[in-house]
Amino acid sequence: MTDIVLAAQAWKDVDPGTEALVDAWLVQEGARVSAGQPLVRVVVVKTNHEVPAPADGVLEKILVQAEETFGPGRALGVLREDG
Amino acid sequence: MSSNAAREQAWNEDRLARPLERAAWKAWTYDRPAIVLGCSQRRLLEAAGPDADVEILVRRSGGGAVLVGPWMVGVSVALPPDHSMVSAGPVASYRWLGECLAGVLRTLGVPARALPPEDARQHRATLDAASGARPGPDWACFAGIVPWEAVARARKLTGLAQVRRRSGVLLVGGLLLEPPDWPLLCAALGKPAEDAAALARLTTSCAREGAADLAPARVADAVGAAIADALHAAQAR
Repeated sequence: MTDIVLAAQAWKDVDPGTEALVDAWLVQEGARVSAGQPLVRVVVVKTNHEVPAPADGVLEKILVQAEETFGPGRALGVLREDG
Repeated sequence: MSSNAAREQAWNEDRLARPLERAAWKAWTYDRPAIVLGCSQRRLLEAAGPDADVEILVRRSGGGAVLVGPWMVGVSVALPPDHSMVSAGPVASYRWLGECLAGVLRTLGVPARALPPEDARQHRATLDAASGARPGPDWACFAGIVPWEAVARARKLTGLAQVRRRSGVLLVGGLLLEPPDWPLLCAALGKPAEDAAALARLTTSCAREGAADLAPARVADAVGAAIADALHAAQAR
């Protein structure tokens, strides 16, 4: 299993304690996804990011739902990788 | 006929729809009022009052609700994902555009300053202390501050937001020529009248700072020229 996380660069220079918001999931649990495919849109410091799938696989579980917030390094979901 | 606000959002969508190979930008003036909500504010559409005869749009970038109109000049800048102006991270990416807008404001005679991260943090702390137990209208873009947005005499003058995709990066912004119709914004979204008063206290405008000759088209041209200069300088480095 592989965690789906917002890249560290998105948090660069962001005030400690600031949380991001999940705007919308673009796929549902159980969906097959490809490496690089956008899975979820999140917002931090008024910037909307797309978080891609780290590998080919299946979105096993969404851990942070739309309209929930999260901090740096938090897993937004879990990918069950192929192979 | 679609409004300039709607055309702006369509331009933004179109730029992000396919991989960007070169920089593109456009400054906007607005023929009539429109509310542009942040991407996470769709619930406010449901809260829009029955007398909301103002157009309400939703943009792709984050941030709060913006009331565009003849009092504002907006800007959209679309850059390839590996462009030097956006490669240092999202917060750093605001810097060059924020300083561009502040520079244009200073040429108009407005004592504008784009706030670096530490100063923006201090500005927020000051506002939080002043508001006490009463939360400010944090649903509105101009009620808060992020790094590189500009203030004059500690009141907000410009707003910035961003979208980052594999196809490219879109930076958007706006500056206030005149005080917006804050009561219209609040009434249209079902917000209390006291939020309008708070927005008036938290913001300023070029006119309020004594600037003259604020024809939106002229200021939009100045913004476009400043962005072109900044991008040209970056390319030359």
